[in-house]
Amino acid sequence: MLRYFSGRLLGAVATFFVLSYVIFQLMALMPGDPVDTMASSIPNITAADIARLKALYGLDKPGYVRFWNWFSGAITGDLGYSRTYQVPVTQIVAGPIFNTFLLSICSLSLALLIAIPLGVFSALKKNSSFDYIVNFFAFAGISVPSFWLGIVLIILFSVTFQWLPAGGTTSVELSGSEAGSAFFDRLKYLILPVTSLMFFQLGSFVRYTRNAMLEILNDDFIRTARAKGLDNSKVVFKHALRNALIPLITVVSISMGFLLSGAIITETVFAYNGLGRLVYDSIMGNDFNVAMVGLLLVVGMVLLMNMVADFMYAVVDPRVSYEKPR
Amino acid sequence: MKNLDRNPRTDLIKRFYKHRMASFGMGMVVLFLLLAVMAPAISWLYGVSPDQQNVFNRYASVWSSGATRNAFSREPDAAAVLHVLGTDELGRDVLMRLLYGTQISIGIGLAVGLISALFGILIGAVAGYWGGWVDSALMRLTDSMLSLPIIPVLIVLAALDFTKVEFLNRIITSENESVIKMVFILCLFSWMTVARLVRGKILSVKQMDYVAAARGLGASHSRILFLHILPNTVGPLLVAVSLIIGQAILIEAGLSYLGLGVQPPTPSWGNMLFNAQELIYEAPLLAFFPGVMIFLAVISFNFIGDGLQLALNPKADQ
Repeated sequence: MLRYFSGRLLGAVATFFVLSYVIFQLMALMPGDPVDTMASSIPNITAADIARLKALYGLDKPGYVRFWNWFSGAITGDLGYSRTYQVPVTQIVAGPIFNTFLLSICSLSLALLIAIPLGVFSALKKNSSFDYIVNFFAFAGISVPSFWLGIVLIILFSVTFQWLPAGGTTSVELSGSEAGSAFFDRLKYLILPVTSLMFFQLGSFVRYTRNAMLEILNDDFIRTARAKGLDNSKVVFKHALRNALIPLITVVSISMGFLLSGAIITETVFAYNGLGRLVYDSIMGNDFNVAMVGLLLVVGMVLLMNMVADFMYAVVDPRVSYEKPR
Repeated sequence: MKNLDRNPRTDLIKRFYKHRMASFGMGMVVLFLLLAVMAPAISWLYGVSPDQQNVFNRYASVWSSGATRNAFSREPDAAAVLHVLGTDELGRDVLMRLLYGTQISIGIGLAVGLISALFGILIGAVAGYWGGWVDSALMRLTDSMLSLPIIPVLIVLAALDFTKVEFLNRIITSENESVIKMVFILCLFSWMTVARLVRGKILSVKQMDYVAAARGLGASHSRILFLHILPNTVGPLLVAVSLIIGQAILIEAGLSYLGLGVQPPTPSWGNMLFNAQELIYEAPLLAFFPGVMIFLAVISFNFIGDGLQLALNPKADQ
């Protein structure tokens, strides 16, 4: 097991390295070279000056040298400066990481809280009208474009009813300085983004729980438990649900990756100050250093989550073994 | 006696249409295809083109009429036309733009579904049939691409200046640039499920006696692969492709909404939403209609996929 996971870790690190190289080179294909952008605002700069500036920043060197320069700086903690904000990248990313994490965790836990009971009950009442309705909404959840859902929610709750803010992360000015009001302020800004981000996960978790429950309820050990005379709720919630939830761990960890990448669009819709919006803004604003770090953070978190999924799976379900059969 | 002349294929089709949502999905897809094909005809009959601007009739409400006018005269140029779904911020007819958007959005979805299926079959077939290091290399690639967060990577790819890449310059013209670019980058990230599925099926079918028999009769590799093995994958393949089409439409809409996908003036459902968010006070319905179209198209393809899945494994439904 230890050997398997050290191998996995090595593989993930290698993937991360290759990906950072690929992303770095892709960035070079984006429109707008940093020096050219800078030079375009200075009318009397000469071509020789531009060439000198490029040489100064090492932009005239081949791609792999530039990548190595960036990478060797990055591992010593020098991630470069943001072109837009004129501060080191490390100062910019800290806040958004937390905000994105908060958004994803809230969506994930809310989706699970709603989806598991719905899935269980629609499996128990299979082919009832309740089952059909739940199934339809699950399909709607995985089919609705989350950004459009966000816009519709804004139109409903911010424009028409004016109950919730249309976007942002916190109020600029807090009326009370006590901790409670800051908390509720935060919450107010989270409701709409969390709701629109949640629906996709909700749909897929419901479908997943329902199918897993249906499969397990047909198993022999459930029949045995029933034959023993155990009451129905114990059979359903203790025997069946527990086993149905084991593979759900994988689904949840993988959907963490979907959440993080889906958050990019949702955060843009709601102008929520998260990692996704940072990546989008920096790509649009040619802020390469920030875009690079933001993207790698998202990619790294997803790779990490995939590994956690495998690990949890082995820990929770003793039948899973990563040893080579002898 | 009746059971004897049952054809497995008609059985499959019957089971598919028994699934009410799948029939709905199929009907919707046919409707969308018809609308896409007939968009120019409708536009001609109706006398409105999707790009025709009219600054005197911006944000016209649903079911209102307005005449095109020359900016310098007070007299209308032509008879007033009815704007069934109103007009947008440039006075363009929303219904016509939605119809032309159908061409682009459904077209991109189908193209991505088809191309990534072919590519996935190729990769999966090579990996599954030849095995060995080819298999492990290709599957390592497939798995690592599956584990990538798609949207950030697609945003980077969509922001690229593709004219900087030499070989793409030849197929790209300035008019279709953004559409071809979308198809290309969506295909890059859609073939993996098909490849895994085809490989898995080949691994299990390869051991069957009839394959050994065909090989014993001296059939060539390609004959065994295309005639004896691949037909077994058609069912699950169709399920995967219909889900890929739905995903492609959804992601295209998302990227176009961010302004990175299909570029105006070409209408796509996604880029019609690009401006709509800033206009939610003036014209909330502008943000509403394109989203409904995206939703209906994606849910239709998902229903078809689910219906096919159930039709292929009738036991799962009992």
